[in-house]
Amino acid sequence: MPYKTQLPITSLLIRFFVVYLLLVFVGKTPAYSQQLSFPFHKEIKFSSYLINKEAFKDAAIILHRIDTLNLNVKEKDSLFYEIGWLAYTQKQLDTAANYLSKVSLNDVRHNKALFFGAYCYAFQKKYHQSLKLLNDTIFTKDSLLDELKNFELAGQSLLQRNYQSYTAHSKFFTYQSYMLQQEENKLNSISTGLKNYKKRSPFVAGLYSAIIPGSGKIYAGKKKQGIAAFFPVLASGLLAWEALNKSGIKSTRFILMGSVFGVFYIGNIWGSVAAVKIRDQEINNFYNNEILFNMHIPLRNFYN
Amino acid sequence: MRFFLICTFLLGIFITKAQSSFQFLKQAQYYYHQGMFVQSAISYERVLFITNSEEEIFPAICGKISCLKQISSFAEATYFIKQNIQIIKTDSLRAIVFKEWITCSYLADQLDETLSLIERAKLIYNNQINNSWLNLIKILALNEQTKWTEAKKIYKDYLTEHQLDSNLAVVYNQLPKLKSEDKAQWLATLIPGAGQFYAGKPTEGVINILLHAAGLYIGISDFISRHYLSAWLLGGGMVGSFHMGGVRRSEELIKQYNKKKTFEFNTYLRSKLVSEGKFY
Repeated sequence: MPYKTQLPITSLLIRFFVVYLLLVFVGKTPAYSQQLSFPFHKEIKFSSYLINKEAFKDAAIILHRIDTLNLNVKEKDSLFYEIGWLAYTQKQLDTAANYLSKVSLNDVRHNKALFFGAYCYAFQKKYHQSLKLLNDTIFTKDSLLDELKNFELAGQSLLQRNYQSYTAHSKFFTYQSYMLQQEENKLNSISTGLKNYKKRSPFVAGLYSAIIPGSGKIYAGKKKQGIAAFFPVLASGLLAWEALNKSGIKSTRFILMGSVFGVFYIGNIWGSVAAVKIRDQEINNFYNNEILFNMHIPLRNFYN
Repeated sequence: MRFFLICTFLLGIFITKAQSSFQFLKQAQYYYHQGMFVQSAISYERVLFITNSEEEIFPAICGKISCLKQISSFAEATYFIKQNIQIIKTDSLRAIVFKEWITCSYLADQLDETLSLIERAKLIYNNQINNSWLNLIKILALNEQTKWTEAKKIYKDYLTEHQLDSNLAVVYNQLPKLKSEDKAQWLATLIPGAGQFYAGKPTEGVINILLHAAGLYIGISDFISRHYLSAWLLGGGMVGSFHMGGVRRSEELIKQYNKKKTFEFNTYLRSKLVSEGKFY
């Protein structure tokens, strides 16, 4: 058996540092095909730097490339918030809501993330998810944030045309804070406007147009379209009438002109029915945009 | 021994920090050569984010500009240059980036901005950016704006100043004859189909005439057969509609014709100026 000598401690240390230096220098010969990046916090700062330079696409690439497996809860929150906020500023509301809703209680921006996430969901008509996020916000009762929460909930109730729920939430409006006062009043006036809005009947519109062509559209609130619809029907009617009088009911001219008149006449009735539905849709969209706009302002006031 | 070990540690740490921006620069270049321009641009940005050294800032800025040019994001490149040009402290290096700014601005079709930058370059970087090159870009930009007379004057002045002789100035005497929209409208109003003929679309002109004739025929024949309402509403309606449509169509055709002619002439002029323009 060969005799084994034990290495002295200094020799071991020297060997260790030779290996260490080798590792350092080997590390300096990078395999460039592998993506180099900064440590997590610096990577987040880098993405903010890109956002400040309006290089939003690059910032999104950076943030989405961070591997969440190696992150702790705090870092994950930070990442989700950054991705969500970037998506929100870029009006990618689905991504924004998805990431903002993941920010946990441990993060100081938890409430902000949930409020904005809820708003993004509300904008996409995903009221159930929006409601859930608002209910997950945590703060002391009777605070201004509690009023904000009720304001957002009231806005959502209006979006869903749930007036009972709106009344319940609007009871928390104090009209005291400058950040909410104006929007609370506006929401109230929108609610009144919605309640007073009388829906037009598609049947009545169709009936009016059957009696006087174009009048159904005027009834639906589309005056110019109504007048414009009247003349083609009148002209084709006159042509059919002349053909009937001068050429007889069995003449080719009458069959042709009568058919043209029929198409215009029925088309005008159908158009009036559609006009009522379109008008309703327009009014609904108008009010929804107003509600969403007013829901958004206090959020920006609170968190800017 | 202890001193040696401490030094080794510190050296290792120091080298790690100092080399990181260099590593990103190398990686950016690697990506660039692999054709991965988006990744390359991000790596160049990483360099700009961490370094203060002009030796690294300058290649990083130039590298990112090249990446953006490769993916034809010229407008983005101009914005990037605008944001970053002030970081470069050395005049000669800034002049190089300024030249890139002019190129990208021209390629992004921001012609007024290009002309403004050229004037600035002549004032600020008089000795650093080749004046001939600036003149060439200015002429090209003016050509794109169809300011051919102004472009020709600059070209002639340039030739005189450098005592050069070129037949290319003659090309400016063969300017494309652009057609007048007003004239086309009047022609179409007075003679059905004439607007289309003037715009160089005889087939459309003939079709327009035939449609007018059909309307007129229906109108007259209905009038003769005492279908007065039909004569007025159907015949008259047809003639009126085709007439108004013909006028609008003529205007549109003239726009298309002028655009095509301008593009063809500018393409020809551009290739001639670059290859035979004697811009050194």
